[in-house]
Parts: sequence; structure tokens; C-alpha cells
Amino acid sequence: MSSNYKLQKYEAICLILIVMVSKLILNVPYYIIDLVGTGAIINLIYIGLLGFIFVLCLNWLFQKFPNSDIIDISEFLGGKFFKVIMGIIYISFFYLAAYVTLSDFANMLKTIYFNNSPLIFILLFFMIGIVVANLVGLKSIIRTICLVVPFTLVSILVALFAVYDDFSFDKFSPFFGYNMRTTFVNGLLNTFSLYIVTYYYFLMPLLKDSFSYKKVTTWSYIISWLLLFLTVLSILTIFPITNDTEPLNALYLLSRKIELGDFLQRLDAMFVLLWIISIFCYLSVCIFMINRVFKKLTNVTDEKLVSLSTTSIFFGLCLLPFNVAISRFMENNIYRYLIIGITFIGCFIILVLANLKFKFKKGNLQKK
Amino acid sequence: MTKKIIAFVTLLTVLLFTLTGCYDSTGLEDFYYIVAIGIDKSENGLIRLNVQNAKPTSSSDSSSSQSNEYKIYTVECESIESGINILNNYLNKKINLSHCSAIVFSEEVAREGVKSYINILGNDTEVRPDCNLIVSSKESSDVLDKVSNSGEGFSSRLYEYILNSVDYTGYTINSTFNTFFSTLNSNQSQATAIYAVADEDTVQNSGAAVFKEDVMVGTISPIQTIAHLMIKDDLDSCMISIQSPFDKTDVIDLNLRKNTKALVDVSLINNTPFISIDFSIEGSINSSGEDFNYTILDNIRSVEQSASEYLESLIKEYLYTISKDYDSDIIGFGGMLASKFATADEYEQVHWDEIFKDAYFDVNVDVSITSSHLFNKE
Repeated sequence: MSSNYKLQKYEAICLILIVMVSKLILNVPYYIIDLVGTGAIINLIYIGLLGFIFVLCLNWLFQKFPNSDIIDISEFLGGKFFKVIMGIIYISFFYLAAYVTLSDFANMLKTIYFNNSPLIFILLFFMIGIVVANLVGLKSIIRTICLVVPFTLVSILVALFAVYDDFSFDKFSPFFGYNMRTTFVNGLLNTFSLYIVTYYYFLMPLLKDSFSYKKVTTWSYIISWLLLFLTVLSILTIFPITNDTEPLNALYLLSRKIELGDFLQRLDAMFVLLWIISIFCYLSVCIFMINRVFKKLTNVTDEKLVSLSTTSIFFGLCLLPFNVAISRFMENNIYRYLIIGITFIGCFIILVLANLKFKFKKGNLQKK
Repeated sequence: MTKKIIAFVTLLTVLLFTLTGCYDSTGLEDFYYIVAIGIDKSENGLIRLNVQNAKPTSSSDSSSSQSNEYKIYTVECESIESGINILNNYLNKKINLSHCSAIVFSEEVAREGVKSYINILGNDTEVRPDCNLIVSSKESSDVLDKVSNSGEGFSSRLYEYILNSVDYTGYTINSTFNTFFSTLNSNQSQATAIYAVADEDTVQNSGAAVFKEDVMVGTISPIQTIAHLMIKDDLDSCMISIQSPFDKTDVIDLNLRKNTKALVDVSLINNTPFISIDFSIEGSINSSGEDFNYTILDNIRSVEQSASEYLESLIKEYLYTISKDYDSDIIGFGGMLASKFATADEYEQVHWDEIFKDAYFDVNVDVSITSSHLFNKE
């Protein structure tokens, strides 16, 4: 059964990278810059280091629970009731992530290329793909991701290379941004950009070799952070930091400026094609995760069978009225705090408590 | 086997529909491809939008894809968008800006402020970031109408040819929509645009228009533009004529190229900006005059000295023009000073906008004549 497909190291790293790429496409780098201004470079190094320590802690905490994800650990800690609560929280969370991503991206596509087409057509294009991918299984999703990720990495490097001429240290100064407090205290809110950590809680049972978890998380984190860092660097080089203007999709605007000599111009069309596939892969992963959590809560034998239902709900969500104000509010407020609250605080506490319970139980067994 | 056939036929049927095209598909024949836009002020407070499109040649034996004719449509409107809408209605085709090579503002419009127009065009995904931005001394329609100086057939590339001269003359700047938009919204530097002077039947790029925020405050001359490009490190090569140190009535033509990047240091002395600029420029003698024997090393040193003094004076004149006369930091010295501060809050205490006009400049130019191999001694 392809639903039992297990990921190789490289595949797992690509899976995490595609999550980061989807965030890069949807203006997350600009939200970072928006909060801390030119201090974004220092801020990213700072939160990157904190995030890395967090990932190392996760690796250590997961050592006691091989082949378990956060839902299994919740069950171990608080029983079935707690498992159901965590499951519902994560299903809602993945739905929200997918909804914000698709609505934002579909609206961007409509603005750029399909001004006269109804939004529902663009949404349907993604929905059909997601359903088919999930019915075929994780293997098909992962293979597509492995194909797309190298090209996406190259595209981000090309974007950096293309703005090389405009590169100047003056653009990143003052290096500590507005002030120290904004960069180091308020700037902690930028940890939401390290959203990939959420997937680390579900990665262990998906791996072919659970011992490779540490390597996968470490390498995927480093590469993802580098991607984020390079994108922020490129955007800072090109866009002025003022309160007057805010590019609603900084990476797209950046891609429009890319020219390689006189013979390669307007590469944005190529970038957008790549992003469509990346977003499609990311959404397929989101629905896969929803199906997986749902399976754990309900004991459905094959999660693939619920793909149609979960995608239909997702489609319904995407038909809700959406505009830039909602997108900005979702990304900058709700999403930011949800990621910090659930991923970086809530689940971490659950893991620590589960480890303590494990130790306590083990101690009791040894005493007996 | 039957299942496979059914699946194959179903797939083919679905694919057939994808080949028919969408109901909202558009082709080349549905658009008017605009080559340039001009924006002028109208007498009744509205704007006059001029759009120029190339008329394709009908001759079947023409091997060139370039057009020899153009047409300018003008409409009075409240905004660019509404003007385009009116023209869409008039032309029965949709105006497309994806091949627009130049956006031209009349000086009158530029002196009132261009931000609203730039923001509208910035939101249009069809406008290319490398589209040239020009301020016309007269009506923008003059530039559109007289762009073909050389009698060459009209084409969208004409704008590029005219503006490409920056690479070898240094008499104008390279101002694209992208750079203009960025500097317009930047708090570290002010914007500049190409300044075009329209005469009776010609149009010529002539220096640069200087902006403070979004309002044009003045112009710099073509020779001052050389100084601007030198400091910005955008000068490829240019030619200057200096007075001969051996005969005051004679001139020596020098071809200059940048040697190394300008070293600019911005500091504050008693809250007054002190800006020192050091250049190293490489030159070659193009014509030497009657009394100058360039095969003698001492003579070369004298020419180098004269060229350095000439350039120092030129650059200082330019710098004091932008600081004292226009109070507009088009180089971005403010950004350079900002890099010396840890935080933006500390930098804001400097109030750069208020003190820039009091800046003191120290310019040192080192010209080295590396080649003077002319075929004749004169």
C-alpha cells in the first residue's frame, strides 16, 4: 500500500523545504522585514540560532518516542481525550494554513494572469490536483516534491544573483533596525517564519529509518533558514524600507526585476510556474497531514479514502470571501501567534511532560 | 483491458477540451501594444494622457519586424486608469502596456508631484520594471512625437537607443521605472529621472531631473551628470575637453573610464555633514592640440594634474548644486551615514533631511593617463 510509504532522508528534507518555499512565496519574508526593518538580518540570525537550539531540543525529546508523532505522544500523556483535542487543534491548524496559502496564492494568480477568470476556476485547478495526488498517495506527492525542490532552490539563488548589482551594505543599515527592543524582543515574533518546525512533530513515523530523524531535522532546518535568509537579503536589497509602501508579494516583484543580460528578461513567468507546482505540492502535504491526523483519531483503515471529504471541506473554506486585508490579518496576527503558541510553546510543553511521564513510568517499573 | 481503453478515451476527451482554449482567451489581435505613455497637465485641472503605438507595416515584402509609423492618441481624464479605459472604448481594443518602453512626464506635472501616477503604474503588472522614465521640458507629447531624431524608422527600440547613449557619453542617466519607484519610496536617497529637452523638431536627453520626495525641484546639466554617474559608480566611459596646460587657447580631449569605485565617507562634524570623495580615474588622450607633445612624461603629468583639477571643480559644483540649490540627496549619502549608526532611532536624531543642505564636500580626483597612443602627435 502506497499509504504506508516511508520517506528516505532526502525525501523528508525536500518535504520540509517545500513547506518553507510556500511561506517564502507568500510574503512571509516581507512580514519579517516589516516588523524589524533593516534589523531583519540580525533578527534572522538571532531567531535562527534560537530555532536551531529548539530543533536540537526536539531531537532529544523525540528520542524516547521513536515512530510516534505529536498525536501519539498526546495520547501517551493525556489519554484518548487529550489525543482527540490535539488532533482537532492540528486539523484546524492545517486547514487554516492551507486556506490562507491557497486563497492568497489564487488571488495573486488571478491578479497577475487571470484577471477575467472567476476565482473558483483557479481554486478548482488546485483542488483536482490535490485530490488526485492524495488518492494516489504520499509516494506521488513526495516524488513531485523531490523534482520541484532543486529547481526552486536554484530559482532563489538566481534571484539573489540577479540583485547582486544593487547589493550594498547601506541597504541593510542601520544593522540593528529601528531599535534593540524591536529587533531582539518584538522580533521574537518572527519565529513564526520557522513554521517548518510544526512538521517535525509529525515526521518521525513517516521516516523509513527513525534514526535519521536527527539528521533530517537538522539539515532541513539549516537549508530552510538559509533560503529564508537569502530571500530576505534579496528583498532588502531591492525594496526600500518605509512605512509608505508595502509590496503585497515581494518575491513576485523581485522576480519581475530579474534580468540576465539583454537576452533573458521577464523571468517571472518561469518563477510563477514553479511556484504553482510548489504550492500544489504544499497543499497536497497539508491535506495528507489532515487525513493522517483524522485517521489516527477515527481509526479509519486507509486515510486516502477521506481525501475527497477533506478536500471538499477545504474547497468550501476557500470559497469564503477573501481579500488582502483578511490575508494580512491572518498571516500577521492569527497565524503568527498560533504558530508560536501551538508549535513553539504548546507542543513543546507536551513533549517535555511526556518525557517526564516516560521517565517516571520507567522509574516505577525499575522499582517494581 | 476494457477498463484501460475506457480510461484512455476519457482522458483523451478531457484533453480535447483543453486544446480549445478558454472562453476568456486573448490573442495578439485583441490588444493595442503601447510603446510609450505621456502624461501632461490639462487646462481644466485634469491630466492629458498620451499613448503612442506603433502601426505595423502592411507591406508584405518588408523583412523587418519594426514599424515605420506611429500614432499618438490623447485623452483628457482624471487618472491614468480612467484614461486607458476611455481609450479602450475608443480603440475597441484593450491597451496593453507590456511593451511600453518609456513613461514621459511633462515638467509641469513632475513639479506638482508624480507619486500618484507612479503608484498606479506600479500596480500594473504589465508595466516592465526596466521601462524608462523621462521628464520632458515641454509637453510629454512633444517627446513622443519627436523621438525619431535621426530620421530612422519609428520603433519601440528608439527609446532604448536614445537612452543607451549614457553608456558612452555620460550626458544622461539610466532611469528605469524600477529604480525610480524604489528611490521615490526610500528614506535613504532621492529620485532622479532622465531629462529630455524638446525643441522644434527634435528631442534630446539633457542631464537629469532632480526630485525631492515626489516633486521635481530642478535639473542637472549634462556635464554635471558625468559627476553624478562617477559618484554613483554608474559611469562606463565619457569624453571631456579640458583646457590645455600648455596653451590656454587650446583644448585636450580626454576619454575617461572608471578605474576603481569612488570612496565615499560621510561623517558628522558638529552636526554638519562632512563628505569626502576620492576617485581614481583612468584616461586616454583623444586629441592633443598643437603645442602638446604627449611623448614626454612631464607633459602627461601636467595633463593629469589639469584633468584632476577640472574634475574636482566639476564634481564640487555638482555636489553643491544638489545640496545648496535643491536640498536633495540624490546620491544617497544619508544611507551611507546610516550605516554608521546601530539603530534607526539613533540615526533619526541626526535629522539628515534638515542638515544635508549644509554639507561640506572634499573631493580628490586622481586621473592617470594610461594611453595616449594616437596616430599623429597632434
